[in-house]
Amino acid sequence: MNLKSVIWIVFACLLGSCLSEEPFKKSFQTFVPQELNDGWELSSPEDQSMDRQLLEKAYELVFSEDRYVMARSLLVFRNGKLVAEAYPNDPEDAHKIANIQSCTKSITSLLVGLAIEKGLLDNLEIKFYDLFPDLFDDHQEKRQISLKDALSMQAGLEFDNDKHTLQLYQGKNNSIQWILSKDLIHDPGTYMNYNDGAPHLVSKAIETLTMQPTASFAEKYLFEPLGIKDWIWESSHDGVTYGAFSLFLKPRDLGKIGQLVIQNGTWDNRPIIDPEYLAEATSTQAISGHNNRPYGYYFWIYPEWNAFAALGHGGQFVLMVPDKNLVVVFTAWPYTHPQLWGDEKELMDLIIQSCK
Amino acid sequence: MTNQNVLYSSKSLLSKNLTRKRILIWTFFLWIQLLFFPKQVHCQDFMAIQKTKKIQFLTGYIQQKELNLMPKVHQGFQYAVEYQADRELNHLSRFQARLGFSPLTTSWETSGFSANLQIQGGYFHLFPILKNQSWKVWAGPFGNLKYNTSFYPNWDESHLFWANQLQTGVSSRIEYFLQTKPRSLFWDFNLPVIGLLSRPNIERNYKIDDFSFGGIVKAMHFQPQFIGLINNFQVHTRIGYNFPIGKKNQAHFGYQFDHIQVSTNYSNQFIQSSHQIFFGINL
Repeated sequence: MNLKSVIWIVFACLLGSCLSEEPFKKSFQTFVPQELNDGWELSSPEDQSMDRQLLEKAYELVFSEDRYVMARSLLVFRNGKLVAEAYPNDPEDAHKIANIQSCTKSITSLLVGLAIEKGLLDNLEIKFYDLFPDLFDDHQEKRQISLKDALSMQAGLEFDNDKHTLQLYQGKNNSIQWILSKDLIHDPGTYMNYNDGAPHLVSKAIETLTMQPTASFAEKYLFEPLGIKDWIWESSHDGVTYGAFSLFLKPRDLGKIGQLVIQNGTWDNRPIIDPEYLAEATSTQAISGHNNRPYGYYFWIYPEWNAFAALGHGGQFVLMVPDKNLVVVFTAWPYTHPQLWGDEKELMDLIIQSCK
Repeated sequence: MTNQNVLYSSKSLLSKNLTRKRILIWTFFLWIQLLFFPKQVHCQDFMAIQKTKKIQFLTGYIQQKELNLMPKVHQGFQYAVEYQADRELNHLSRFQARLGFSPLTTSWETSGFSANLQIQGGYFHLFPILKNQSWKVWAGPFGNLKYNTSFYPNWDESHLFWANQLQTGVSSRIEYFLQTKPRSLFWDFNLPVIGLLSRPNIERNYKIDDFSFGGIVKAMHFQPQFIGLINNFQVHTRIGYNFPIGKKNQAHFGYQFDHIQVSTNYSNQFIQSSHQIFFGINL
């Protein structure tokens, strides 16, 4: 073997073994939904009085523009039927559970409505101190924090997601005691501070009221009736289901959650969530100091669309528009570069406008 | 279920892949065959023990895809240092240790860089297959412990991701002596066959949540899973040229290619490919 041959072999190896730089997204082909026998009835834009061209424009936007580069799924449901779906990165994403991040909070909120429906809870004014007094420190004012305060992110405790969320995940001790040990920097019910600590307190309250882990309660009374079979919900080291994050669902199952909400908490004509609670949870309870957006009980309110939404880190988005009987699910890979974040407006505008 | 946090999940996610067991059994028998094959053609010419110690510096280009994070290629230059101790009698024993570091980026990485760190140690026990004036051919088994860890600080799920493994497989070394001894050309080829692999659990919000030394060590060995050729395809090969420097010392340079493609049933695939040039001297 001469030197020339060796050089050619090395050169061929170099060329042949480079990892392909796959595009994040495939080119847009179709949004026609596939039959998966998961309980969703399939339909078309025309049959549900939607403008196909506007809907196509929305999908093309997601598939073609870099600002939606992290998109993993976009699903549109109208009148209780799946009208359109596409998975820009990988069609297999239809079958995969993924972290819905802070959309988890909205499901925690629904479980409070479920507890009310089951007669396990009378009202939201109940104080956490009445539910788990042993976990409180000597600070008297913290005993005034109510379930309603925590549901509207107005518990008043100094919980900063940037530094405390990972600690909540890492903590080996009692997670509730740790959250309650944070300083009370605002009177309960007076100031909205979006955080991951308050929903964890709500999860503990659900656990106490239902005498089972929040995830088990959700499985029996929420996921099973909706036909949600594949899911994972993580808990802290002391076994309290995270109320704020770490629920993993499939995109279509996330759509079922949205559909349940716009059906006023009923599924197959069976009441699941208390409708009065749901009306309260999806109406303004506080205003975010960060973006001045109205907030309900773990639902963001969009008055401009007469809608509300569950939002999650990295671009997870479940938009619910009751007067158009519309649910939109958008999920994404987690990445929050400013250019790729907060771009839901143009996309959602197109989908809402497509409803005749 | 995780061994750290309590995890509630649906039963349908806990099914196991039975075909993987068959693959493992098959690869095990293949490995046994390859292990004993060289003994059948054992060369009888004994000679004096030859001991050499080498240090090598490697640099090159590395690409990797961590599909737990995203299906995108991270790439950059790689820098590594390697120590090698050979003991040659009627067989060749080789101990090898390596430390490598690579700053990596993607076009989506707007600031800073991600990084890959590799620490590994291996032992090779090679039997002679052919020995004459011009050729030496060796083959035999090897074992290798490799910590291959990456950190992606610019990404939301910017935690440690790893593909750590304890593996065994077959190795060969072919050396061709040029007329002007002690100059020679060599080709090393390693094919890991079976092993244990630890990967981060994709179904966790934080891939590692305890950053104490003990917590990191525990995470790095999370749920080791048996792997075979199907879910653990790896090739490590190098070609080089040995030549004398001065009257006593030897040096060598060449090209090395490493490719790994691994996955477990609780984690997505990790692919890593690197092309390196190396230069080393005998100590």
